Amino acid sequence: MNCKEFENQTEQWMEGVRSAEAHGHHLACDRCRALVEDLEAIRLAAPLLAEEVAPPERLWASIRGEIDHEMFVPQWMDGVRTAEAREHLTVCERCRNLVEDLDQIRAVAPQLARELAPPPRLWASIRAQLEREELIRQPSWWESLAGWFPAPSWRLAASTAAVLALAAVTIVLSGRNPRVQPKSPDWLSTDQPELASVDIQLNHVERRAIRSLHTDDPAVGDTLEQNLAIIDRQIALCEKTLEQTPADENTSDYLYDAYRQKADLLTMIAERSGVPTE
Amino acid sequence: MGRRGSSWGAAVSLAIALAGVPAFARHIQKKFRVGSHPVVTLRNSSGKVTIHSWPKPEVQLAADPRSDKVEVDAGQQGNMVEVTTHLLTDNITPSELEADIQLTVPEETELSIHNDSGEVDIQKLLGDVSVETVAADANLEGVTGYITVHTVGGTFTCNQCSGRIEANSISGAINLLDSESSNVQVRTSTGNIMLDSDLLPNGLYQLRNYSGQIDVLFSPSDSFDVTAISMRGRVENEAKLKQSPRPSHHLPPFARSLIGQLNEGKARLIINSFSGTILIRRRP
Repeated sequence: MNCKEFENQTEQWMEGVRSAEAHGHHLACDRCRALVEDLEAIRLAAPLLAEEVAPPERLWASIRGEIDHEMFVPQWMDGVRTAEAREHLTVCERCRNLVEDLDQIRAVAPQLARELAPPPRLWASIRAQLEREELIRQPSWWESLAGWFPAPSWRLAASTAAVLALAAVTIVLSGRNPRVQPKSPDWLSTDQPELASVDIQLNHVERRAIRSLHTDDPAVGDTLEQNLAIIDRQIALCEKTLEQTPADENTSDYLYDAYRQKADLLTMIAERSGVPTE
Repeated sequence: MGRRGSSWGAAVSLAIALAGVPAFARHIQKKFRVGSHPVVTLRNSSGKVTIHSWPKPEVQLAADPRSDKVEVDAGQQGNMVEVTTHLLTDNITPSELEADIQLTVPEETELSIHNDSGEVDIQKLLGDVSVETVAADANLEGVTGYITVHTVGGTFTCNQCSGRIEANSISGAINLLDSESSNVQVRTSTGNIMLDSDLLPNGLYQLRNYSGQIDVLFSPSDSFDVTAISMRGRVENEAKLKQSPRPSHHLPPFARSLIGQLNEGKARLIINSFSGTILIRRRP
């Protein structure tokens, strides 16, 4: 069996129908094994991308709850500041922090808008869902920014962005499927710029996710934080190595692995960020 | 003196008995009658999870929450049994969070286990097993099926397992001991990896970490084809390898690699580490 014949059978392979010839070729051919690995990675991420990248129901429920609770925030950020809202901010530390965070986001928004263009399909899906549920109405600066921070809470933004980041990592890396696009020999000229935007997203999510991480078991919280630090060190070292040897595909594989792990871990942390009680 | 000693003894016994009542009262035991190949899912925050098999077509749950602040729910829907622990309050200490769970299931059961911290022990099972933990260790023994394990920091040990094994961790170690699997894919970032198992003909064994040590133990009669690469670490080999027909990889000059085959090269062994040490050692 040659590579073309194996590719023709990939659909059956992924469905578990695997001939002896296909098995033999899979064992012998690095390229086709990489193809299958990529397809398996995409299949693992498929639940996130299914139904036009629908986030988990739990996340939607959380987003709905938060938007109901903090509906005044978009108006506040658009300059509509009622006496009731002002009074609420004086007593509610959580909302005060949220507004402070949003002020900071607004300050860096123009740069983010340039650097962090989300995949249109992803944002279209989230926006459509929010509109279906009548949670957003007319576009404002808030909503145009919401491509990355669609919910009026940093914790929710972290949750949502973690899901988005995971999808983004998947999309970026799925472009590396050798069938679709051969690996570039020069990491600096191609992959680094793509990953830079993923890196910015993930770092944003990370800072906020750590702040909002709430677990009843310190061992779990400590483990998550420590392992996030491990992944960050791994990313830094891989990037440093790639700056010296940009054509080193092995190191770039380790770097992509680390990004995948970081996105997975941030999603895990976001899932464990319980709704705070006031 | 004797009478005084005796009354103290009675008081201590009474105190022990009284102290034991709440713990006993929290013990939960339930049984569910199931058909062949049932599916059992468990979601627990913290504690020791132990799962055994038995020949009966029943799932038996024995749960011991450490406090009244945790509730263990169990329900059945068709051939699926679902066990979940819930917190009854936000104000809870780590020790109050714990619930020890024992499940006894039919031998051919599909399992899905989530346990953030503590331990997961699964013994003698014939079915697909999925385990996800954060800090908890996962120990499987005598399990046959499609085994997938994800931990963040917990160690995964598989003893006498067979089937397909996929394990991922960040800082947890992964140990595959005395197992018979033809498809092994394990990855950890900083954890060590130990493969001390049969390498089956046509089997594929992929071991990968970032740092830490990867140990592969072999016997002289084993037949495998190995590609081992450590980008910034060491590769040490005790096997008398002959040249492999596989093409060599393009590697930077600082990388260490080993490509070769022992005997007919029937099993395929792919080992990668970034800065860790790869040791291919003969079994003592």
